[in-house]
Amino acid sequence: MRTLFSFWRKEGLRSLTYQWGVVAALVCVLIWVYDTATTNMARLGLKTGFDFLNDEAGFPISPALIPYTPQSTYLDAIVVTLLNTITLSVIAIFLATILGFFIAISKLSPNLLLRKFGNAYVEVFRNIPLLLQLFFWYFAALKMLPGKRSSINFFDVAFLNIEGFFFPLPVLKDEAQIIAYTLLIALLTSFAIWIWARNRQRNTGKPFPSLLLGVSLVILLPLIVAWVLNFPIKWDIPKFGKFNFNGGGSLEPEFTAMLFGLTLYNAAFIGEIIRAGILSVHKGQKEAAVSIGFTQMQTYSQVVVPQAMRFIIPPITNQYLNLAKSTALAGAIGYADFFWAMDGAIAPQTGQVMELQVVTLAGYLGISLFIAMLMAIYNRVTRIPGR
Amino acid sequence: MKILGRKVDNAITASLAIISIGIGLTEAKADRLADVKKAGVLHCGVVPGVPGYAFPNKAGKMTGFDVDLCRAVAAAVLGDADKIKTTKMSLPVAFNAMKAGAVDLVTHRFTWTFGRDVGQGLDFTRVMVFDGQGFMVRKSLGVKSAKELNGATFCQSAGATTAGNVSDFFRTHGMTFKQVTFGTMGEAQKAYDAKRCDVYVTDKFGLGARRLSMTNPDEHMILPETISNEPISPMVGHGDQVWKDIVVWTFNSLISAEEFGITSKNIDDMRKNNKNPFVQRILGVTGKFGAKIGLGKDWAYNAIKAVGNYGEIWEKHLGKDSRLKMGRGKNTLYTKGGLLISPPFR
Repeated sequence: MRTLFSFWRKEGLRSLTYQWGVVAALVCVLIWVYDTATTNMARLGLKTGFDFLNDEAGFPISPALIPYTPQSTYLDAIVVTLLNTITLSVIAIFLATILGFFIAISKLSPNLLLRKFGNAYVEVFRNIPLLLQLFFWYFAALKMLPGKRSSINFFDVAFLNIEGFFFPLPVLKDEAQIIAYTLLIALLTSFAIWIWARNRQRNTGKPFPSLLLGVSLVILLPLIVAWVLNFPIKWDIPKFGKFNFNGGGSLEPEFTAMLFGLTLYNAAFIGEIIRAGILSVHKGQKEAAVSIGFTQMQTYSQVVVPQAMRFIIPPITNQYLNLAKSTALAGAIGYADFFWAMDGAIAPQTGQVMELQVVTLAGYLGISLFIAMLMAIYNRVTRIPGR
Repeated sequence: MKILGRKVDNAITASLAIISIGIGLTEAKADRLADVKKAGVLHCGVVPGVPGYAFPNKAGKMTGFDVDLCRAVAAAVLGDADKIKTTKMSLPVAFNAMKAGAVDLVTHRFTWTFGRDVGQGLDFTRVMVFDGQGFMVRKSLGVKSAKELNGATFCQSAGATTAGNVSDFFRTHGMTFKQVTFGTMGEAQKAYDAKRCDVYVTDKFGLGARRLSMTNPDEHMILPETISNEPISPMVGHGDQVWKDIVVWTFNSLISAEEFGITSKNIDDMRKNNKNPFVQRILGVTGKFGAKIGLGKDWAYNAIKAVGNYGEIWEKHLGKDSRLKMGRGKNTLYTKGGLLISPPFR
């Protein structure tokens, strides 16, 4: 029987109608949002545009990894703080992964004390809001550190006080270039040895201590060259001026507290992810490895971890993304991160809230997509063929 | 208790951030007076916890100079000064909340600047405190003038005019400085109190108030220099002229009241017996000023009766009747050499 609505019985057509209906509704909503937003902005007399990015920022930023003064532009300020966010994220991801690995190992350990410690660590750190932990570390650090005039002195070259940790920085003389080249050569050689050793082991089964050799090459070769050249390095040692130390490098308590808080908090989650990954490998695999004479170390590095990785990578990527995004809390304890600059410093001065929100979204999206991309590449390289 | 306070504060911050995005989602409306009358309560954004301006008293009620400005408007519009709701807001939050129309009035300590006034969707009402930026340091630092601060570290709050002013002042004098900028004034103050910085910087009348909430107020001193001109003015949203008139003229009435000697104590007597036509117009005995801005004839009477004239508000919260004991500086009537002047009620 054909009626007016008989087309509705065709499944393909029906689902197509639904899909296009949803798209149309979404477009309508977006048009409505855009329309009311522009009407409201016109009513309030809001000025829009990105020209303000070339105006003078007027505020100092510390720390700044590239040259920056209050006379620099807003765009410079954005770049400087974006670099701060990236630096903090990268170091925290690195440290949290290492700490997380040890947490996982201790939770899997047959040693009762280690196991209990791992449990306690995870429960404490993952169940307290990150912001509270950051405040705790920051103000605890400020309470414990000595005042400026009673700095802890490390052999007259490094100093620790409430303004931070001040340490000497190497200033390279011209001959030091040779050391850099030596380092490069050592790195390349170790890499070549590693490739050769891997192929040889694949073909003949004979192992070669390429890691040990590589590390010693990279450390010893430049050292020997430096010794031959009579150490062509000068040190820029921090000196106390009227109010604080000048010269050398410094680690400020805001950065340290952020790094501490982010690392400890995320290590709890990463530990659980790694533990789950290791547990996902069937114990028969481990037994088989032991039965053919693998050592404990080989069992883990050759059999368990490569298989566990398949389970670890996707959730650990999520955790890395969470970590990178939660750096936005840094402004609360005075670390000059990306969000601090956008929301706390630039928006109130310029009032270009809409534009800055777009830049902020793009910035975090960029960082997140970059992390996700790296992890996807790693996942593809290390995946087990055929599975 | 402190942690709870901060949590609540953060919750408010978060929700207001969402509201501020709502600028794209709420339909245009420009009748704040009708909205406030309908709601029966005036919603004000105030500074989070500064003694003298907005600070909870022993009963947990917010009191202070800024709160009384809010109460005066509530009395004028709703006839009852207690029909207010105050929300504590950090600078950036207050800015966005006002822009999005989430509050009726912001009596936060906002400096009136060109950049904030123009093209931002906000209107400043009138200067209620003539302030200027100053520096607080520890007495033990041995510094007597701001010009000796070359290389010092400053603690301050994000979103304030301080960063620009300090930067300009130091550039003028060929000096450098470091700064640590926190999300709120409260964190900045805590960090200074913990000796993270050499200098705490904000407006001078604010510094006087902040000093009292340091661990040991006597350890600190305020340097003599005033490096900027900071006219502090409450804000309303842009584009609602009627609402702005109501707020501006309510504040004007508080200043006129001081000029003509009207106080919260003698106001009933003044209304009955005073023959000065200005007094009679302010208090609604003659003229129809209230009706012209959509209010009852008692609007200014209610406001002054509830909170007192400008001088009374100052002395109660900031001056000799308060813990702060701050002099009025330039905040005296023009007839006494100060800067306070109200356009005439004519």
